[in-house]
Amino acid sequence: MNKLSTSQNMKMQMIKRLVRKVFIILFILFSFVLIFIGKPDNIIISKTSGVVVDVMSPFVKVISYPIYMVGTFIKDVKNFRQVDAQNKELRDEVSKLKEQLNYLKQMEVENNSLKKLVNYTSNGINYLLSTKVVGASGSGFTHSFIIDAGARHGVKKYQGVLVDGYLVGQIYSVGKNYSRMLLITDALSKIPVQIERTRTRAFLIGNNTDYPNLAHFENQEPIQIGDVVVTSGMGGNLPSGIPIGIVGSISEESGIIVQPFINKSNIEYVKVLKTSHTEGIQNFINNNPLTE
Amino acid sequence: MVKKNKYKWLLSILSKQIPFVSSFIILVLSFVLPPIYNAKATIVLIPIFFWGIEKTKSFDFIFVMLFGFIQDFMDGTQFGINIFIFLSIYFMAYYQKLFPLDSSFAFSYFAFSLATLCLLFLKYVIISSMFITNINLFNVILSWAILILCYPLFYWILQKLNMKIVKRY
Repeated sequence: MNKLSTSQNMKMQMIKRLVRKVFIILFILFSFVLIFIGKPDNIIISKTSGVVVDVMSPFVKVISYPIYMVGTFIKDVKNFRQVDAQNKELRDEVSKLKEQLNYLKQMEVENNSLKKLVNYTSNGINYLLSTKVVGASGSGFTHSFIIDAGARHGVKKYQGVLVDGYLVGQIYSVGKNYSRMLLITDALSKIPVQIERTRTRAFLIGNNTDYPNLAHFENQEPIQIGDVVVTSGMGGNLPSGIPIGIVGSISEESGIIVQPFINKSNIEYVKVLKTSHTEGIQNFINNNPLTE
Repeated sequence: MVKKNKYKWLLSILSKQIPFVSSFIILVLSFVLPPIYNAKATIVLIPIFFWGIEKTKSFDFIFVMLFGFIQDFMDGTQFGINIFIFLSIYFMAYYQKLFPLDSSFAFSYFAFSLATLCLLFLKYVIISSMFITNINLFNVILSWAILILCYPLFYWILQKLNMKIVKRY
């Protein structure tokens, strides 16, 4: 009786093992099929991504805290040696900035009076939301950051993300409290830009290296090394004129390569550009009878 | 003596959670660690491979799928790619029959290196073809090299956990 039950148990275990094996193989095949179906810009995937980012970010924040503290401590020790020199530099800078501020105040008054004169109306009020970078993507295949601000703070998809006034990326998925931003260097990033000097319009396309490419030119104005690349404002997600980088090299092999002003490895805090452009376009789509 | 027995049941429950918890911590750590020359290792592959070899009952393939799911959404890559990679390495580790013959560290290190190299190259091919633009192959190789360099450290930590807690209780 005992022998029978042990042999039956053995059989059952074998069947269980086989079923498990078949299940894993099926799931592997299923995930392989998913790769070709599940595009990252799909609405369901984008929304789920927001939820996952929201759930995972507190864990990332907790684990990153000791690493952040150690990094800050090392930085503080390094900075401590240069306090005197930095203090002098800062004093000089403050006096220069005061002069500039006075000049800008005068310019603002002049600008306002000129606006009144020509009945100028602004095409979008931009304001910034400062936030901290909590984590980054877990592999080298994407260039993205998780930031400590979400829908609750007014963050929306495609809003621009700035560091020191330079564009570094765009919001890609939004959770309630956290969001994921795509850096301009990511292979999925495509930003409408223009060359400041010639007004030549192009797209800044990421390639998962530190240096994105310029592509799709409207006309063939000659571009030079050192030309400043700024946002063009096309598409309405980003206002025009935000500096991104300079043309670093031009060659037939690798095309036009842009050197961003901000190196992504130095990014700790960012500013989300909350622009009424996005809201304006969304309102237009929502209220336009043709889009219904 | 009485004290030891008192906590044994608790340790037994906790020890069953160690494979999942350790893998989860390593997964979260991968989002925190800074990249080196744009390359970042998918270090969660190490615990998946390790617990797969150990054939730990408390570390089922559902957890591996969950980790792949999280990695996919946190990275924003093509959905399903990490689930596929993670499940594949788990399957390779769990159903291989070579480790009982040679269970040395050097052998597992070599097997892990080879398996991850093949899978990362496959990931590179899939993502490159999906995004049309070519992803820098040097970064992929560097990511793999970092992963391989990290392996002994994580292996040592996981082995300690396995011997001192998981197997004991």
